[in-house]
Amino acid sequence: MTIATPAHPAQTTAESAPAARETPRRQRRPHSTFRRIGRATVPYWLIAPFFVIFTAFGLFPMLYTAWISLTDRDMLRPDAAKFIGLGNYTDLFSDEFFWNAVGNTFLLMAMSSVPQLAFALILAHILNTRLRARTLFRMGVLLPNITSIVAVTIVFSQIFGRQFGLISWLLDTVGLDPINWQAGEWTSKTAIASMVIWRWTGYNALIYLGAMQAIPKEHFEAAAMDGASTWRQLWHITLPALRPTIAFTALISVIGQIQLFTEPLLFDNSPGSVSGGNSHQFQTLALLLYEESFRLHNFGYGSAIAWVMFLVTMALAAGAYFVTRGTSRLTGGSR
Amino acid sequence: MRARQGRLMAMAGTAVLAMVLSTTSACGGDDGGKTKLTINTFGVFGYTDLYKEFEASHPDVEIVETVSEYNDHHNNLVNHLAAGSGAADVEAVDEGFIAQLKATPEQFVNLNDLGASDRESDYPAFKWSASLSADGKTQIGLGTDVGGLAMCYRTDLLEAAGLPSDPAAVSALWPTWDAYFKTGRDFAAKNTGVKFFDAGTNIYNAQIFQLDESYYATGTSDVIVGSNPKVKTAFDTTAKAISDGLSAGLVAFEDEWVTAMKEGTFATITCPAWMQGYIKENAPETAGKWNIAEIPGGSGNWGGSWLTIPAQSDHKDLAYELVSFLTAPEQQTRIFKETGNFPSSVTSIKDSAVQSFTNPFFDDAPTGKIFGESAISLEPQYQGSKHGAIRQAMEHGIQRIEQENQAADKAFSESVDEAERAAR
Repeated sequence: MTIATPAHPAQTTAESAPAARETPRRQRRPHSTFRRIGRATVPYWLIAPFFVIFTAFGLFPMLYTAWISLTDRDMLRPDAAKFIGLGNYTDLFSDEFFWNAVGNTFLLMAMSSVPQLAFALILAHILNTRLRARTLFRMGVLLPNITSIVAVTIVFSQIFGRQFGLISWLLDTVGLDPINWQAGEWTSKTAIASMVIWRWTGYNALIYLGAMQAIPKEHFEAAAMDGASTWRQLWHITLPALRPTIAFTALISVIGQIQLFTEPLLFDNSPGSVSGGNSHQFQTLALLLYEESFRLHNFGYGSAIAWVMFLVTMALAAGAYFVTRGTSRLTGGSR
Repeated sequence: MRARQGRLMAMAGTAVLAMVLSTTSACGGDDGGKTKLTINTFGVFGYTDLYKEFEASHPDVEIVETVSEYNDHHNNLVNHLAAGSGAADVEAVDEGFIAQLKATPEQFVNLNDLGASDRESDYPAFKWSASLSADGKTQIGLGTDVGGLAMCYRTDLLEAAGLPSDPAAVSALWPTWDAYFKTGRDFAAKNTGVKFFDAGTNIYNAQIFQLDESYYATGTSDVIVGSNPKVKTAFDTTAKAISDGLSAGLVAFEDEWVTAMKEGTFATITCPAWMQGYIKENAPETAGKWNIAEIPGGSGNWGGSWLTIPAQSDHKDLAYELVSFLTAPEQQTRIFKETGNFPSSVTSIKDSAVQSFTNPFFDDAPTGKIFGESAISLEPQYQGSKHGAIRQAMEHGIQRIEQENQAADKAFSESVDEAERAAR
């Protein structure tokens, strides 16, 4: 490549040979090192935007939050902040509101992730069969996911309204008592989980569908020939083949659920309330973080909650990593 | 090939540069000539026509008002003050938050520097001092209205239960809260399908706002929410009324509360002057069916606001012109007639147009007299910096009783725990 582009070949023959051979090479050498370095650094330049932005808007805030979590700091009086070491964290672990939020977050995680992934699997299986207007249905299941989360929550809040809600109205028409969805420990969580399920089932179904289409058709044809029903095929062929995909979607959904915020915030239709119900019955960790930081203005304490959430997410991600590595090694070994 | 590689390098470099630049440079837009003056409010201030008048006299000014929900409005304001940007040029502040905000007077323009000290004599002492910094030097806001306390009721619904509907006779039914609740039980016994009051919190708060001392020991930062027997009494009597079936079990100010107001599923509602605006705005079809009686248990004050100018405003002088225009006595009189918000200016309160005013929406109730009398006999209640958060914790307890059938004692002790945690 260094000799690929001799500059002005006609001129070099006209002038004295040694000089001609010397000068271009001397001129070319810095060029070529520059090029060599350049070539080596291009990939870094190309990925640099991500890291620059991540440092500015991801890493720095994260580290700054860690620092703030070690201080007692009122949002309106940053000057009066004082260093208290791990004080916020020790307070946190003896705070019943924190443990309540932890419990709510994990309960909501279980109540929404499990049915959501199960429905997604069934939906994907149906979408994978020969349907009329297949593309329409496949795109259709994604609609709840691209709808504004605020719009979804507002509509659901009306459905689950206390006195004039749709479900209460339906119950009333058949002579049953209306349900006060917001007030109950389980009814409120059911309502919120249903919003999450509604929003994410189609998204996961499409991921499953993609993975299903990668399964060789012969497996199904052979099974069909042996008389296996579609549900048996789902259970014995599709599911085992999808194991890594299921682990992936489970991880993504769990990480998303730890940060569950908008649904419980907007479901609480007591105006201006961020406490997740009168008994904090659906206050998630993210909601508690918001209440502490932006309502009670305890920035230090809020930051400590943020860091605990971060560490829990990391721990879950690490756990999921080892589990998926285990499963993929298993499937790899069996092949 | 060299050319391509060079271009690739250049592209990568430009991309980095562009992203860094686009994220750091502020968008300094200049929108054609007019100065945009922003004002953030909540509830019903009724200023729309006044903005037009101000714009007419200031052709180069455009006023943009953003109305938010009460809690959201104040919390956004605090967040914007802390962030150093994002607040409007004029921010309304309610009595529930003024104590917290005047504790950081440096966040606001000292209106005394812009000439507000001339207005001091026109405000009742309690109104002027409530927005004055602790050292008495910085005035952060000019008063718009005072809340006072009264009881609004549906004449048709009381009549349906065989009760009187004339304001004097209704007031005579409930000189005390005990008498009010007894009337409620008589009302409930008639089984008209209507509840006596809208929400336990409105009844509880009314009793709290009548106390000379509620959640904080006067003049201190000592939280006495759990030890003040009068707070416990207000909580317990409200809980009793709920268990007697007097409450419609609504959450005040939420959507279903508004719907219920239109549908007429409750007969009485705690009525600070500004509540008239809420009723009129939310349930215009109920015009003429309401009237106003005295509040049980003596006078008190719930709410009332100030207009403030955050120190971060770029148009402080213009903002002050707008604030002094909107809070001028003649405008307060006008707003009172239009919305019911009772003036906080002494000139306006004493104005015969206010004193003799009757509100057609409320069956020509003499609202000038009703609220005028309580505004004059007003004794301000001391409020500490976390008063709002404590109040919300106590309201949670009332709502737990109302909606989750929690026992009153348990609801009270849990609420006190939550309140003390919030005030820590």
